[in-house]
Amino acid sequence: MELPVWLKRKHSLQILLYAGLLIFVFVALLPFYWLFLASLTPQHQLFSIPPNYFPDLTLANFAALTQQIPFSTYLMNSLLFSGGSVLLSVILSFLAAYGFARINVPGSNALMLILVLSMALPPIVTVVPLFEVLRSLRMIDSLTGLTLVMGSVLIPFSVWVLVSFVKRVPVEMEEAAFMDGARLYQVLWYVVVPAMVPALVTIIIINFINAWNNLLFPLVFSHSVSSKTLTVSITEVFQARTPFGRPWGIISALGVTMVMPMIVLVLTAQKWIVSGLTRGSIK
Amino acid sequence: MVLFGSGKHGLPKRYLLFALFVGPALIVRIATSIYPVIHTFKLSLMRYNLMQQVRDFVGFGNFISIMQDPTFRSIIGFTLVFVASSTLFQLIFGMGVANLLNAKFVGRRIVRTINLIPWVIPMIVSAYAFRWLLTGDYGLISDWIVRITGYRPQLLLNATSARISLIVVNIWRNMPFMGLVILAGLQSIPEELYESAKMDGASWFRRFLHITMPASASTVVTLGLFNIIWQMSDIDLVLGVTQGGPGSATTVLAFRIYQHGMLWFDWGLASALSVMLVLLVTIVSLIGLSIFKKYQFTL
Repeated sequence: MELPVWLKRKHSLQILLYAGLLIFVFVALLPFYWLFLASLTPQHQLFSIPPNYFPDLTLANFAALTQQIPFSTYLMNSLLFSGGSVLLSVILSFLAAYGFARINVPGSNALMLILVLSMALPPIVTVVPLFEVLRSLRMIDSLTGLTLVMGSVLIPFSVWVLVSFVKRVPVEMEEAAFMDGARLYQVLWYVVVPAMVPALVTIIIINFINAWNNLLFPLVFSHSVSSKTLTVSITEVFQARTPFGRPWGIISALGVTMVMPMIVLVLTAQKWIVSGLTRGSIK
Repeated sequence: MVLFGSGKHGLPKRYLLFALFVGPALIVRIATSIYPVIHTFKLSLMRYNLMQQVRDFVGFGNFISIMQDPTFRSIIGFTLVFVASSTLFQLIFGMGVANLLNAKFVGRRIVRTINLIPWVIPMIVSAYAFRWLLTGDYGLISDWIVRITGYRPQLLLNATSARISLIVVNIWRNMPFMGLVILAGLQSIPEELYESAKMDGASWFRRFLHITMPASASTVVTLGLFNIIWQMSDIDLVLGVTQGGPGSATTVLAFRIYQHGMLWFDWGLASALSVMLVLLVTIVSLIGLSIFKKYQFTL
């Protein structure tokens, strides 16, 4: 039986759509899937040619992770580094965004343009001079120094996003609070912050992802276990050799533990991440 | 909406308030970003090597030795090819992804979430994963190529295929982000506008140029531009996938700065290369600003 033309066209479009989706999902997830499978594969099965598509499953690589490297220290450092950078950047950016959005002084727009454009300065370019600065402050190989530098890198984007959200908070509430005799810090804490909760959560998540994934600063400024993060530790494990080649078992186990928190974040907070990245233009 | 405008708050008082709010962020940025970049310009005029224990003024000596170095020309060449082809393909594929994610289908929410995954996982982890997938003897992708062609490739050991591989991995990483940003643009356009342009026979490229670009919030173009600039500044990808090799075939400018500064401790030369990267970023930013002017965007 001949199908009507419009139905055929619609069907072939549907097939095309789902084929496209399938390819897209496959490509997007391939490296992570392989990493995940490898982290559960016994070390001796990792180097077979052709690759082992259906290996035995084991948790030995994760056990090796905690035995062969100071994993818990690195994890703690990563958490402190990311958490500290988020705290610093969000507090300073929130204040700055409020200043830019609510206080009318000549030069404010130009200053904001410079601040936002400083987002374009490549961090790699600042590394050599920062080394000198941090050394003179005795902040080389210290989580405080790393947090300061990373927090600063996160500020321009945070200000850029938060300004657009502050501008959407109706100013009348703040005016009314001032009329009732509230002080500035009270207005900020009891009126502005509650109205900004979604925006703040969004920027906290995005900044956390960025700091958690940062390799450059700890790679350059950390020299000992006391301040190295997970991203640095994976580059160190990568340098090691086993009789077969690189220790892919531990590399993939470490990779999976670094990726997992990010995947959980995306699964739970996808809507917020997207709204922050696009400054609220996608819901 | 301005709260502290004119009226009972005089200008000096407003400036004081402004300084209290904006000052801390500004001071941190100046100390850790703007001052270091200016200092880099100064260091670029010095012979400054920690291994040789020298630190003296040489004028443009570093720039001259960079210009005379034939590998530097290939590094600049590859950096430009890397950025240009990554950008082009990310726009094309990003457009595809955006249209895909904009279509109506079962499970759209989960696919949109999956779209974010390449962008949120640490670059160094996906870079190592790809290095493994591409390894000649036991890599997954190599295995597929063997099964299809019967020939075992050494993708990362050959200059051309290593370069292509690096660009492909970079596209893989940034395409979803581009797609997301373009999707934001698509969703801000009224359906009818697109339909009537289609009726008039406008190609997708013309629709992109004349409808998507102008109508999408300036956010889209800003993010697209910053995304390109961030790719120029990134070292994680190269460090993980190829370490700049074979030879210096896949070394981009940013990675060269890392090598000179942090592996060979030639801080003068690293600073001179940094100045060049800043110039390159400035050129791209100026192109961006001209787009802004053309469509009358604001930040």
